[in-house]
Amino acid sequence: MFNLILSGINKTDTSPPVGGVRGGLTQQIPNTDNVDIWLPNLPDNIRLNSYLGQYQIQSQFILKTTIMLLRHAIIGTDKSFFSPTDLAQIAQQYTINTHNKSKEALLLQIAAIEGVQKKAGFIPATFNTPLPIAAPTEALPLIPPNAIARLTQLLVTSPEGGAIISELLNLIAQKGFCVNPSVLPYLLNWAKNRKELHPTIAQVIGERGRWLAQQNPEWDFVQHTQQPQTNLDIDWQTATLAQRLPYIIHLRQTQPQQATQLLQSTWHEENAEAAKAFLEPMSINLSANDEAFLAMISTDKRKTVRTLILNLLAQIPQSAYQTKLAAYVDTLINVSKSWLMPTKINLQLPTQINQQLQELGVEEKTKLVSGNERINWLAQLIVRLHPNYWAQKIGDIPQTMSVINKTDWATELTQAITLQAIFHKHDTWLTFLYSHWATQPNNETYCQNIASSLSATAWQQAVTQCLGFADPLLYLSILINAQNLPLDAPQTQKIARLMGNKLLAHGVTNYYEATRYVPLLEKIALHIAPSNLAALHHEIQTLLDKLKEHPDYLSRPLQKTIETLEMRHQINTLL
Amino acid sequence: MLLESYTYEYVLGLSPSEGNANNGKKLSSAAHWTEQGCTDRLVWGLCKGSGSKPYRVSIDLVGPAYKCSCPSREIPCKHVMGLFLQYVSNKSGFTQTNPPDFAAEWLEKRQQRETAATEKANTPTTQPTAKNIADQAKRTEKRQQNIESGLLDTKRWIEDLIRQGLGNLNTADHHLWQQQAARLIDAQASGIANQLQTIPQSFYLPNWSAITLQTLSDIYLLITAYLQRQNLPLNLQADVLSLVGIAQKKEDIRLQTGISDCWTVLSVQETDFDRLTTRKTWLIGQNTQQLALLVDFIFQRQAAAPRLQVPLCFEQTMHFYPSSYPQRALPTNDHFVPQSANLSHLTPHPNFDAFLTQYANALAIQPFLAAADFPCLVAQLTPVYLNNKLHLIDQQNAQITTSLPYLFIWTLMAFSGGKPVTIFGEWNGTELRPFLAIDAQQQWLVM
Repeated sequence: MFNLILSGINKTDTSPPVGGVRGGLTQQIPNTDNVDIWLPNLPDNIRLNSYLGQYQIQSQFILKTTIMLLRHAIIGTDKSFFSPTDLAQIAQQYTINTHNKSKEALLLQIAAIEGVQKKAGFIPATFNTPLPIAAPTEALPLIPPNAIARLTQLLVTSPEGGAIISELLNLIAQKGFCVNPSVLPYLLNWAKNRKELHPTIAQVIGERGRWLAQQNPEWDFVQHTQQPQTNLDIDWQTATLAQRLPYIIHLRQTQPQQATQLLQSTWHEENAEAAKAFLEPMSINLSANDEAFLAMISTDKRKTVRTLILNLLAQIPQSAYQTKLAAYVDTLINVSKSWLMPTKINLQLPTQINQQLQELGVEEKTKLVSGNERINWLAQLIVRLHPNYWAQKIGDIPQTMSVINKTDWATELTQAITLQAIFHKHDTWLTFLYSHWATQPNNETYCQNIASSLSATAWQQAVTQCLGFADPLLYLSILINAQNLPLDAPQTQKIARLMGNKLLAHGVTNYYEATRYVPLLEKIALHIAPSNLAALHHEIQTLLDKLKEHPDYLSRPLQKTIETLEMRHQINTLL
Repeated sequence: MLLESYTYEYVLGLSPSEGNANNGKKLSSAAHWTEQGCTDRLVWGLCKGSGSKPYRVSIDLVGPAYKCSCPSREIPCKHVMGLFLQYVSNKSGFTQTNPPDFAAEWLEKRQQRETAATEKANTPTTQPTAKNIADQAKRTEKRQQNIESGLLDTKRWIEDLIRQGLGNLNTADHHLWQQQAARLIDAQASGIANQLQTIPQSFYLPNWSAITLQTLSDIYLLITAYLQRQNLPLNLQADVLSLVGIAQKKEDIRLQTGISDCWTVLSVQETDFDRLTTRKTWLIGQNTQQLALLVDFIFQRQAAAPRLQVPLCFEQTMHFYPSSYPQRALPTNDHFVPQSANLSHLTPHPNFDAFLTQYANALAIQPFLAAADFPCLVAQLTPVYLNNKLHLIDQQNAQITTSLPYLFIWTLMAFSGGKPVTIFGEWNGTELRPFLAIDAQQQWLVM
C-alpha cells in the first residue's frame, strides 16, 4: 500500500500487510521498560524514553531508525551528517522508491511508514505481578437508585454541603445500607480530610469500598478508622508514640486505672512531647482515682507539662489541689454579711508571686482579664477553682453576681468567673453568664466562648432564654453558629417569625440588617430535627411570599433555605 | 417524530452538553415554574430566573423546536430542558389550555415558515442545463487546482522545516503554524489544516519533537497520497479526500445502501475547539456487530442532532461513508426511538492479541487510521492500578496502559472490584481510553 501511496506505482498491491510486522521482525528487546536513551550530541539532551513508551518495540531496526530519524529531524538535514546514501539504504528496507527524492522527503516518508509500523506491530508487555484479590461479595444491601443519584449529585455539585451529605450518610449507616460502587471514588475523595466523618464512612462504603481504599494510598484513612485503638498487643516499652497514644486513649475509655498505672511506670522517661500527648486523654473518665498519680507528677519541671497537670487536678472537685486553691482564695476574698445576707466583698489582692502561688500554678505574666497583674494572679486562681465555691462562700448565682458587681473589680471578676465557668463547663453558671454578657457592650467574644461550651440541654435553655430578649437575633445567631444542635419546633417557628418581622421592617431599605441574619435561617434549616422541616418550610414560604416583590438579595437566601429544607426532606424519605 | 414517543432519555439526548442536561434536570421540578400548560402541539412555561421577569419558554412538539427568552446561546437552553423533562415525566401535570400570546405567536410564525417550505419543496426543480454542468465542472477543477497548490506549498514548507531542523520549534512563535493552517484553509484543505494546528499542543510535553515529526510525516504522507490519488483504489481515494477536508454531501452518503440493525450506543464523546464542538458517537449493530461512528459538529453549543445515551439501542439504517475501512456513518434520519439497553449481544475480542491483530490488519488496509483513534472492544480485562497508572490485564496476562482522568480511574476500579470486565474504548496505538465497562452481570459504567 505504501508503494502505491509514495511512489505512484500503479500495480496491484501484493506487499504483505503492515500488520505483518506483528511477529514478522523478530529481534525483540528484552525488558524494554528500561530503555533509556540519551542523545549527548543534541543541545537539550533529548530523552527518548518517554517517546518509546513503556511497551515493547518489536525490532532493533525500528528502534535504531526511530532514534536516527528524530536526531536528524531535530538537527536539520542541512546540518546533519546524514548522507542521501544512508537514507536511501534505510528507505530500501521499507521498499520506498528513492529515485529523485530529497533527503527531507526520504526522511519524512520513512518516518511516516515507521510510525504506522510501530503502531501495527505493538506487542503489549506481560503483567508479571499477581493480580490483586478481588473484593469480597457485599454483605450489606445497596442504597436504592434515587438515593445513589442524590448522593452523587450532592458530592459532585455541592461538596461544600457537608451537613446534608453527612446527614444522608448517617441515615445510610443507621438503616444498614452501603453505597453503590459508582459513588465510592467521589465519597472517599470528599471524606479524606473530614476526620469526624471517617467512622461513618468506614461503615457505609461496604466491602467494595474497603477493597478500593486498599488500592489507593490517599484513602488509607479507611484502614486506620477500622482499626483505631484495636491494636492492644503492643509492647509499651518499645512502641512508638503513634502506637502508644491510641492504646492509652482506648485504655482510658475502658480501664482508666490501667492507663494511669501504665503511664506512671514510664513517666520519668517520657519527653515533653509524649508527656503532653499522654496528659490529654487523661481527661477521659478523670476521677479521684487519678489524683495520686497527678499529684505525684505535679512538680514536673517542664512548665507546659506542669500547667496541664494542674488543669487536670483542678477538674477533680474533691482533690487536695482544689482544697488548697479554695483555702488560698479564702485569704484573698472576705465577704461582709448583714442579717446573714452577703453585702460586700473585700478583696486583698496578692502582692507578689510567693512559693504557695507558684505551687498553685499562678504565673507572673499570664494575662486572663483586663486590669493589672495582681488581679490577673487572682483570676488565675479563680479560673481553676471549682464554681461551687461561690455557693459556699457567698450564695446562689444572682447573689454572688450582685455582690461582685459592687466591688471596684466587678468587670475583672466577672471575666474571671466567666473563664472559670468555661473551664469547668458549668452549665448553670454558663447559662446565667450568657444572659449577663448579652446585656453588656463589646461582649461577642465572651458570648461566643460561652455558647461553644454549653451542653446540649443548657444550649436549648439559652436559646429559650434569648427568645425573651427585646432584640434577640444577634445572640440567637451566636448560639446557633457555635454548635450544630437542632432547635425544637416552637423555637424554630419563633425565630423564623422574628426574622420575618425584622426583614419586613428593615430589609427593603437596610441591606445590612437584611443580610446579617438571613444565613441564620440557612443554618437552622440544616440542623433542625427532620420532624420540624415541614413547619419551618411553611414559615419561610409564607415569608418569601410576602417578600416576593422585594430585591433578590432578600428572596434569594430564603429561596436557598427552602431548597435546603426540601433536600433534607427528600433525603429523610429516601431510605 | 411521533409525539407519544418522546421519552425522558430522548429529551436528555437533545441537550448540547452534560452540564446543560444536569441544569435542565434541576429545573424539571414544578417549584421552578410559575405557570405552565400545553396543547396537542405546544408546551410552554414561565421559569423564575435571576432577572425580575420570568423566562418565557415554548416547545413545539413537532420537530421538536424550542424558544426561550433567556440570553443563553445554548439550544436547547436549560430552561427548555427543564420544561421538556418535566413534561415527558409528568404529562398529567400540564393542563390543556389556550397558549399565552408569546407561545401562540411563535408557533404561528413557525407554521408560516413550514407552509412556505412545503410550497417550495413542491415546486418542480428545473433540470440542470449544459451550461450548469459545465460551470459545475469548472468549479470542481478550480477547487482541485486550489487544493493541489495549497498542498504543494505545505509539502515544501514541511520539507523546509526538516531541512532547518525541528530543534527550537517549541519556542518559536505559534503564528508559524496558524499562518500555514490559514493558507490550507484558504486552499480548502481544512482537514490537513486541523492536523497542523494540533502540533503546538504537544510543545509542553517532553517528547514534543517526536510527536511533531510524527504528525508532520503523517501529513506529508497524506499530501503525497492526495497528489497520487488517481493511482489509489477508489475507496482509499475517498479516505484521502475526506482526510484532506473535501466533505461529501450527506444526501449522497444516504443514497448508498445502508445497514439496518438495532444499534447500541457504546460511547458519546465531545471535544471543544474554539466555538465548535465535535461529538463522536460509537455504535455497534446487534446482529451485524458492525461498528459505526457518527460525527456531529455543533457550533456554539447549538445541538443539531440529539445526544444519544449510552447504552440505549435503537432501530436505524446506517449509511457508511466510502472508505477502504468504513467506520463513519450517517443514520437515515435523526429520529431515534430508544429501546432498553441490551449488552448481551456484544461479541468482544477475547484478548488484546486478537484486537491488535485486527488493528494491524486495519492499518494495512488504511494506513491513515494510525493517526486517528481506533475502536477497541475487548472482554475479560482486569483493571489494576500500579505506579500511578491504570493498566488493563487480559486473560493472557498481556497489559496495556490507559489514559483516564483520575476520578474515572477509580470509578472503573470501584466498578470492577478487581474482577474482569469488558471494555469499549479508543486505542491510539499506545494507550487505551476506556469509555464503557460492562461486568459479568451486564451492568455497565460510562466513563
